[in-house]
Amino acid sequence: MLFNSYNFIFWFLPFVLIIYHLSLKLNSVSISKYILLSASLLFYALWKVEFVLQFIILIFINYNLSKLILGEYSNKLNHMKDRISLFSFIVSLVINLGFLFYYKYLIFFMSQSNEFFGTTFVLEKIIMPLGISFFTFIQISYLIECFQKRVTQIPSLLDYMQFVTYFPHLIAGPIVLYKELIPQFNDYSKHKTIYKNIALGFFLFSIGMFKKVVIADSLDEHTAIAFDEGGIRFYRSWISALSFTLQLYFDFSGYMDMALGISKMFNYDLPINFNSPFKSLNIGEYWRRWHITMTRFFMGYVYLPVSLSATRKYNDCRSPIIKFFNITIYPIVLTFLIAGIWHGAGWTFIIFGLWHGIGLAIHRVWQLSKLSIGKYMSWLLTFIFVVIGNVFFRSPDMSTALNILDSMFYTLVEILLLRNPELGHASELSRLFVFIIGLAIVLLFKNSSELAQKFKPNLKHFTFTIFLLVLSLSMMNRQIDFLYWQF
Amino acid sequence: MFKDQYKQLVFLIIIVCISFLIINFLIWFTYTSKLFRAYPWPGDLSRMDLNPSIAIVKKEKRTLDKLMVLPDLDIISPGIYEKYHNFPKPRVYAKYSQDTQDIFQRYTLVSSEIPVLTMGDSISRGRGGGVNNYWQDFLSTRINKTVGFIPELSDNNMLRDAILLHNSGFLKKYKVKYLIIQTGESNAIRRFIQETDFNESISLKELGYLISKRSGGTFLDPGHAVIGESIDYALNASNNVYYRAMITQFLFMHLNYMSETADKIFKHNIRPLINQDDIYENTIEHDLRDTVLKRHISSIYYDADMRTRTMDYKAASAFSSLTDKFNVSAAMNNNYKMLIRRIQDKLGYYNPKRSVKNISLTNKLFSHQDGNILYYASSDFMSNVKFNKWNETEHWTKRMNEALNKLSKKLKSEGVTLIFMPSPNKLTAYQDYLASPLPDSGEIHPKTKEKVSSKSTFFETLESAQDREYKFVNPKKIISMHLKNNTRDVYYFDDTHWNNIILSDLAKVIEDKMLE
Repeated sequence: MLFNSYNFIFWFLPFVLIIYHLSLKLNSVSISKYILLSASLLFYALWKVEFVLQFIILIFINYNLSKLILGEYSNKLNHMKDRISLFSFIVSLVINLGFLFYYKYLIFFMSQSNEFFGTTFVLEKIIMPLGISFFTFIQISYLIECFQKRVTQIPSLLDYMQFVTYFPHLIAGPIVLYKELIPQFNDYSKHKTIYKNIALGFFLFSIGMFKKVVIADSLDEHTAIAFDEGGIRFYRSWISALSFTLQLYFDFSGYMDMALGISKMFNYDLPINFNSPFKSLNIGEYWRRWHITMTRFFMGYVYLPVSLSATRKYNDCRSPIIKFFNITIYPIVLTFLIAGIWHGAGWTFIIFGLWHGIGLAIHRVWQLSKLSIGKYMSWLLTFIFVVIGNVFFRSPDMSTALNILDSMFYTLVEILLLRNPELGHASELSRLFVFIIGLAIVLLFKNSSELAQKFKPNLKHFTFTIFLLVLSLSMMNRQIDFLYWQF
Repeated sequence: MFKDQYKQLVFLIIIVCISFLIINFLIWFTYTSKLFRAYPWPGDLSRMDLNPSIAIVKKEKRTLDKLMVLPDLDIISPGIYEKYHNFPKPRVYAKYSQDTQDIFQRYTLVSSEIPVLTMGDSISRGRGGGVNNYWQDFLSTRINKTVGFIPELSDNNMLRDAILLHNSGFLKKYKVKYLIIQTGESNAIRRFIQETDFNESISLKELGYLISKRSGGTFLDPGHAVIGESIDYALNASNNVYYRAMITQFLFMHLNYMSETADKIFKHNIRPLINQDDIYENTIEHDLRDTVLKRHISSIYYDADMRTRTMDYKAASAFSSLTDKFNVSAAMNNNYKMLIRRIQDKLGYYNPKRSVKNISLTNKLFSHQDGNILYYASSDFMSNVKFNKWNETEHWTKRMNEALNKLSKKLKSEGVTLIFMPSPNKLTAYQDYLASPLPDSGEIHPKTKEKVSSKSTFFETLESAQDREYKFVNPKKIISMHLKNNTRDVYYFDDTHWNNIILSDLAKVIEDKMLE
């Protein structure tokens, strides 16, 4: 079910909100927790009921393995505590990553094997469970925290299930940590109707809907002209690439605002995932502001262990270049390569990951050089760098990506060399209008988190909320899926 | 009102949202639902113009002896129906006697031999609706031969489509003797002057899948009758279905509800009907009498969002028009446009960019109460101007004629005769009966530097071509003859498509061309 669908907005959300807040009047924490859990499972089942059972089984397996990792079992086995913990941890990783691999990557690897090794795997379409990348990562993160003994108290099964299935973050994140959510479920001050939170929830939800329905969906048709409709020319390529960069931002951050807003209506805070990424002046800063919880996951669970291991291994290395490469460059590139693959099974995502990994590595070298190119040039370079990465992200295949980039940059070189290349129809440049408006919003206005902090129950905020809501509802005629659903 | 200002804010937001819904509901019931409804639907001009006052609902009905067929794709793409689409091959369409409840007529729906193959746009898909709305049915009945239909395979490149049919061996396989290409006047040029490789080919199997894929909602086009009539029966046989659908609309469930209806009708009525094995056990009347849509709110709710996406492929495509018209988001969007339109009308504001325009006629040529007014698509006007402006300098007609000649030669080598039949736009058909001149086009001819006329010259230019190697059918002549005799409703009042009035004559002209 889409957050921007009529059935969600006019049925699911009001119904669940009313039932939940009525249940709070009963002063029974368990009942309200069960209601929220049921709502989350229903939310998932509304997509495909067939997947609910395996989802629940996976949660059960992970919950029980986490207990083994934390050493909750018969005292007779205490002498094998560490080995059981390690074994359980490895089993849990194999199960979760295996689950992810089967649904998300098996077809890709089989097709590549057929192509490069002449195997004859039969490729049958596997329907991927919705939000698989997010709910497996949320559980992996919990299991790692357990293994690292950061989880001090085993949550109840109800809390754990609620943590994993909580519908505002279930489909596309944010990738929450257990400590960010489970303690809130047991915070009794949150088990009452707080109108301030509901009002703030409406406010955030309306901003998110506006971003998604009005801006992102308006950019969609301009994005498609080069990526989907062919006819790749200089103007079209730039229009599509620029439009997609902002579409992705407004789409995903819009979803996040809606998720944060919905969660707020239930009195729970989710971590922010975007912090004006396009105000970044370098690629490192960009990744600290873009999809923050995903970056946190990969930095915490991939980059840091690899980097620490490399530091131990190469700390005494005499060659500064080898040392720098192994301790700094290699972990970054590897981390972003994996992050690219996480986004999807395909060469375009692999290149997307490598592009950003190498970009971050170059930025690290640049930082060491202490050189500066000025604020505006830094912004422009960062933005163009992101746009190029997104060409790979959005293209259906590598040849489309390379054709678009060729058209964007080789033609630019030809223009500079006064060769008079074919540019396409200049009239199509009017398609940049929505992009320019979007860019102005991104650069000149406060982001939704900043706006939420200043939220007050006054006419200004009421009018603003209603304006965004009604405008979005009136324009909700396209119902384009959220881009991050496929992940 | 509330001590807690946040509480006040929350309730105000809820009140505004509910008001928004109620306004939508009222607009839907008062105006929009009259245009955007389930089958039978009103004409495209009334929908484009958001104008319920000109809307005429046209139910489909077949009375002719023969119906056109689809190619039996199983013979070139084995298993395409069952394996690829999970759908039984459409074989037979049966008509039942109203009195005796017995089958009185049975039509074949697919054929492995198609001596006359037609290809075309919405005119060939019977999109005007009404009684006997397929021109191919008239032709088939007149010449007593199997007449088949395939949809466009490429985007506005019928030349390529015909080449693919030839080079893949499709025409040979289905023993085609005549290929009749119909195209609307507006798109005729661009469908034949695109750069096209005359040697391009694909395998027959791929072509089968392409035809099937491109057919979409018209996959069962001959069965369109079946679908249309069945829905009609279902909606009327069960008195409160439509009423319930409207209530459901208010509850924002109709998307699911109507697709459920469509799905149910499909599964229980259409499917057995078109499956020969079941035909004697399942009559239309029996099944439709039993179509009572009892669904619990929970099950309606459960399927709400994804229902149309997870629907049986064929059900989804066959009923695409139905579900489209009952798509809640489209309804909301149209409500919004409808409100603006009504406000503009009240204020007497005329938006010059309207997609539908009207002009007075010299005499009453439609049976509607405003039958001396012609409603036409603005795009007809624009396409006339475009043609008059660029045809000469861009050699459009010449290029199209050359392409058709080249195609004709290619087809002749395998004994296939090409017949080209452009169909006039509504404005073109009635242009000699306008009470006042059309508005100034505002365009200057690049060569003569004179104002470009907005009167269509397309058919006259085509008629004058000297070196034609294909056969040319000009429906405009038949239409003009009827209009000269003051025949009403040659085209539907509220639609861009023609009525069946000229189709009998058209079939005769095509037959004459075949015999030439």
